[in-house]
Amino acid sequence: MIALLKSLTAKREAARELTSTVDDLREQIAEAQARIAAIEAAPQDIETALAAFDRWADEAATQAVDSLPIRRLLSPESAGRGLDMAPLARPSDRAPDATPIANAALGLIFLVARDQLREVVSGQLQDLMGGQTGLTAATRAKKVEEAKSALLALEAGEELAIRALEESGIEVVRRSDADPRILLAAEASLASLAG
Amino acid sequence: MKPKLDFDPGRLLALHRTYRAADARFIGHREAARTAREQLAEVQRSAAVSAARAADLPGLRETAARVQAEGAERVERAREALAEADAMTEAAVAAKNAARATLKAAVEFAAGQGIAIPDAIDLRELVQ
Repeated sequence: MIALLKSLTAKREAARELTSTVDDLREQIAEAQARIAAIEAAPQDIETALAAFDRWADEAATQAVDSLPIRRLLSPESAGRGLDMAPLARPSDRAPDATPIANAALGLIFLVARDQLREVVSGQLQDLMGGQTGLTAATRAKKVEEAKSALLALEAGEELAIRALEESGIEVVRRSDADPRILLAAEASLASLAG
Repeated sequence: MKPKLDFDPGRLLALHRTYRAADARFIGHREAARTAREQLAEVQRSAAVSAARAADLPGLRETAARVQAEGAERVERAREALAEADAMTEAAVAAKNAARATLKAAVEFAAGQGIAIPDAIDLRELVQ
């Protein structure tokens, strides 16, 4: 009788420990998920940001030049209008659309004062970063992969604990965002992942 | 480096059993809540009848008040039982939905991996 009681107590204690393990792991999983989201949303490095600026400025300048009615200057009849651009007026618009003209003006500004503007943008980016370096695409990908591996290991531990609880007759509700690879993984794979 | 994982197709059936168990628990709790609702209605009806009868007894004002208080207490207990049953049902629904979501994710992943889906799993259940 005493042996039976001891065995029951031990089983109850083991179940309590496993449940507490699942709770702890779920907290760590939530933290790991937040860490991944933070890495994914972290600012990129200034060099990459300036490369994006360069691409955009190149495109804006090219489009601005392409949008100018330069051919008109060759026409004896229309050359007098110079490069004048009338706002786009569609019947459905309440007011004429001046966006193409504004874009052309902006593109032309980038064409003639690109270096000065780049300097200003670069200074602003450095101020915004407050001395931090930001992440290159390669660094971000590496960090995300590392964080995802750590998350997978935590999920493997959680699944092992859940299966152990289920084996002892205790049903545990799985997280609805559980990784399906973990849900289907063989026990040996889970154990090797969880470490 | 992607981790090497071996899959155990038997896990699909295990997850399906978990889902069926959660579904059965939900049905049980829903039935208990229905019974508790009926009991509350019955208790309310009988308390009202008792209170009306007691009120008709001439010169027994204290008895009438006691009958009314006892009725109110029974109604309150029935209300509490119903609230508890409703809360259990709500928790059971959440558990059932979570079990279905994990089963669905596992089935979809298994299908993508070329793992056969056991006939016991009714895919129509998963798209509710």
